[in-house]
Amino acid sequence: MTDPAPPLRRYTIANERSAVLFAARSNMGPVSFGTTEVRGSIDALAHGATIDLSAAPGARLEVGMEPLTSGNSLYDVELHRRIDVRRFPTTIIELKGAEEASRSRYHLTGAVTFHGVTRELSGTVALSFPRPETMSVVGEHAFDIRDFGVAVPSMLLLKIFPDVRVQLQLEADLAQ
Amino acid sequence: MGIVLAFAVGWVMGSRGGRRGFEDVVDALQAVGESDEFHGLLDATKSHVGFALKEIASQLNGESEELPGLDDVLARVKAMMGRAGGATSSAS
Repeated sequence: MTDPAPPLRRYTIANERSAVLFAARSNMGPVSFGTTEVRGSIDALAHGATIDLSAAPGARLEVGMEPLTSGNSLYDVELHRRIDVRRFPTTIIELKGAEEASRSRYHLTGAVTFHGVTRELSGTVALSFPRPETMSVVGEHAFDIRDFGVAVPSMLLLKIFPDVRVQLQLEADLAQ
Repeated sequence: MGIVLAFAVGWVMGSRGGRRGFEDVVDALQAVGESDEFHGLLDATKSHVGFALKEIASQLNGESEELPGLDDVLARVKAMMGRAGGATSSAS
């Protein structure tokens, strides 16, 4: 009989130290939108500087879409209109699976609900522990906004292309 | 472009409708020029052109167009939020 896996420990996202950046291309050059409105938690079993995958980790993140900004209010208004932030104010990311890719890098699979549409996405993140009770996660993923039912934004002479790269930088503190 | 077209239409109508018709068109154009919607369009165009010129200037200066390193995402987003806050306060 094998010993039961030790319980997972919860790390709560520190939103003052976390951010999500959506980087798009347009016919006028790159346009990026970002927010620090990230909430949620990661349940994992830390083992030194890595994660013990014998206990399947879980995570649920909520990214507020309303504060999403490019620094240009004109672009922000158009983006908010296209992604309909009033109806869909939150993007939800739920971790479904994790595999070790290399030391401190993990291949994750998760469900992303954006603009009311849920898709399964996968990608690789780098994980570290800058402090013993703080987990840091960084990662990047590219997707097509049309997969989530978002029409390609365009206004005046500006046209934004549908492929968007998402960059994620998170810090989460061990819950007391 | 729309203004030029409206002016041309007004010119033709003015020449056909006589002085009175022409004055009506001029009055209508003035009303459009003074409307909140027209000023909104002008402000939006100025903001868009300003942002585009700044992007072009950045490219001409050889400034990096690459995405930030993943450890710099937070700093980049906070800078964008600062610009948005500045734009909001300057607009208000």
